[in-house]
Amino acid sequence: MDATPEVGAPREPESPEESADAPRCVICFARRRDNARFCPACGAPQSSDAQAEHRARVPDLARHLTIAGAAFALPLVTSLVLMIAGARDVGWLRFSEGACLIVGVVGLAALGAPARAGLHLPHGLTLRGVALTLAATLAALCAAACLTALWPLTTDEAMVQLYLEGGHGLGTALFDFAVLAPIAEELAFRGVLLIALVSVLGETGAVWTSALLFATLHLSPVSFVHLVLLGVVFARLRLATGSLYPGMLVHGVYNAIITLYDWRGESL
Amino acid sequence: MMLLPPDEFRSLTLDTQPGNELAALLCHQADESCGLEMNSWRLTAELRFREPEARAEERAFQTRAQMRAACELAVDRMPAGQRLRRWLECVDEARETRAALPLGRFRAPMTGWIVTRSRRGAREFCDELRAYDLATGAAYVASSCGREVLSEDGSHGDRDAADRTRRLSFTAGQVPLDALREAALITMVASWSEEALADAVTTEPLPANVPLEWADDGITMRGTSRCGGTSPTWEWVDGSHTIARGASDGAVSEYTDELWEATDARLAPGCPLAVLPVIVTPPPRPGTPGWIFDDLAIALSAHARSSCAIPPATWSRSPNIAPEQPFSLCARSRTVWNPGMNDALPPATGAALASAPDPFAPAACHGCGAALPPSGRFCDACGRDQATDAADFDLEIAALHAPQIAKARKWIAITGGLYVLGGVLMFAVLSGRGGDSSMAMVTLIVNLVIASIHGGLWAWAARAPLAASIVALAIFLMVHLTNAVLDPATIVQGILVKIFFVAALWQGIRAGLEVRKLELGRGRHT
Repeated sequence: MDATPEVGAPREPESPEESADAPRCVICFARRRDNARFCPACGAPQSSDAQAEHRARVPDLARHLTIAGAAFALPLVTSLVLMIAGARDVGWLRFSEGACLIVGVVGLAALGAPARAGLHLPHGLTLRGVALTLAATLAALCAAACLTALWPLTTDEAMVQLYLEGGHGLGTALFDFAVLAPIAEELAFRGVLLIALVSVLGETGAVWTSALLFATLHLSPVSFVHLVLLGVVFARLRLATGSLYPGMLVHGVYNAIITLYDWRGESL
Repeated sequence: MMLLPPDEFRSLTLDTQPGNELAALLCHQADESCGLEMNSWRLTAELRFREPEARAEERAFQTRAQMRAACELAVDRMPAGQRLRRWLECVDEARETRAALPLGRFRAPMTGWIVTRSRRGAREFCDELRAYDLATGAAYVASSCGREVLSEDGSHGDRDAADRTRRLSFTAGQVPLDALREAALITMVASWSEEALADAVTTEPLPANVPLEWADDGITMRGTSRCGGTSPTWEWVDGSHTIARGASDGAVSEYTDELWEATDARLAPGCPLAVLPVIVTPPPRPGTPGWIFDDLAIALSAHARSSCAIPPATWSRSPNIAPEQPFSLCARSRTVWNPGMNDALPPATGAALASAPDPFAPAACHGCGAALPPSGRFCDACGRDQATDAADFDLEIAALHAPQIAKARKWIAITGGLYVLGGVLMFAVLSGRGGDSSMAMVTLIVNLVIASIHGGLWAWAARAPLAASIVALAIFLMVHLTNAVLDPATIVQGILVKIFFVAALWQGIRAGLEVRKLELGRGRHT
């Protein structure tokens, strides 16, 4: 090597966009073309419409994860606070479902249109989908019945006991389990948690994660497996039909059957 | 007593050198938040320059007495009027100096390419042309190695004969971005550095044979000499436009060489994440045709295209490559690298390349179909990342996030194991005391169920680390909060394990989120 290029002698720019006064990226300061909407070096949007497009494609994952975390944490904390307070009556269940309801309503507002779409009527129901849903729900029912037979006291049975001890009738129990709980839990888990997780984890990951969290929050290790199965069914229903109502319906029917089964067993 | 003040440090800031070609890397003096990321790089460099070994090499005399004796001797035979000047020059030459980066804070270079040209070795030499993408860590290296050959009479080197011994080799792959940016920044800033700077006041008693007489013919103080012939040079290129270029020498150059060697040592061979831009070598000095770096630039470009629709016939002028032999190092596929190729340097034939199809013609974005800009990795119309190749993506994930994800997975397994252990121990303790055996069984079953869930999560984490980490963290919080409510004493039990578990999962979730952002940025919606 016997020559050294002069220090600080830039070449003539070869095209207009390479000239010294070419616009630069607002984030990384790299040169870009005049009409560039995104920076070619770092991908940052360079205009407000590009910003909106970018936001639609790459949602604020941290925000969505925070909403999902809140949707899980609020019912959990409510249950724990009620445990600390020693609440052992029907009000315990209603407080927990109330927390889910609040999560659902606030979460739907925070997540915006994609989550609120769940309040629309269902679409895309197919015969195969209905058959699969029924089969999975029956499988979950069988699992629950087996567990009830094998295990002395599942969470569901314990709940029914609370109603009997409190002198509440079957109608009250059915309203709480088959109407209030499905509405509140579907709003919180499939309306908010699932939709918040879809952007973070993709559909498959979100379905399984929401199902696992749904099962976890029931605080019953013994019922974990069939609750996960149910969670998957409800999440798939929400995504396949675009609506929360089919999930609420199946959830309600399932809970009604379980409540009747346990009620019969406990009252005998 | 004579007193020599410390040398003035150079300053490289937007205030002192607003028109400097490195302006994109410079900071205002008042902006204390600017360039924080390179503070550690600067500190490392300064410490290196202050090392006694580094300074001793530059020192003319090992002791002060030696210096005094030598300087007194040097002025002894001079006319009286010139002795003071010569003595001051001598003392100045002998001062302890060190290399120093210019004052100021600098931003890490994040975009563009840095292209370096250097010769390593003397009798056995390698001319190397290296190009690194500062945005992605893509690296391309072309080397032409040979040995000096003396003329028949042994009086001088035979350049043509030496050229015939040259062998050409290529390497390409990815280097870690932090190491690359540190080496690039220090290399660029080093062109404005001081090689021999006295950073302290020097006091020296005037010898008896030096009268206080001053012949006013100017004083030549210490300076640095640069060996232009072998100085490594660098060029910072944005597309095909040169942002800045320079050369380095001396102690700073030695340090930048170390940084580049450390960077290259971590080069993972493979097909790089970014396409090599057109490298235009600086104009050669008059009378030096066949500039080796022109050849290397053309060969490297050809290699970069080698996946690469260059017809083999293009290279048929090379005496060592048969026309039917493809001039391709990535002959099998873009993701397969064949480092064994080591061919003689093909002739520098700009005309030959001109006849080949231009692989640098604007490509179309895979997302929106718009013509891509000449450089960069994102489409400037829709913002989609163009590095969508699965292998590239996996490579990037492996480089960036694999450690945290693996750690989170490991802790899921550890926690599962601890639940099994805890369940068995509790069962043994509860049933051993003659207590409630059904309670012991409940405890064991609950622990085994939770352990099984963790086993499932561990397996799932291999495919969906983010989802598995989120669920594991949620289950962990639920179990331990419930335990804490039922028995507050459990809060402090195994607190260290709890902290490690939560920290590892939190890092795993953060790493998973970064990966997801990359996926979404590439338009991968799964």
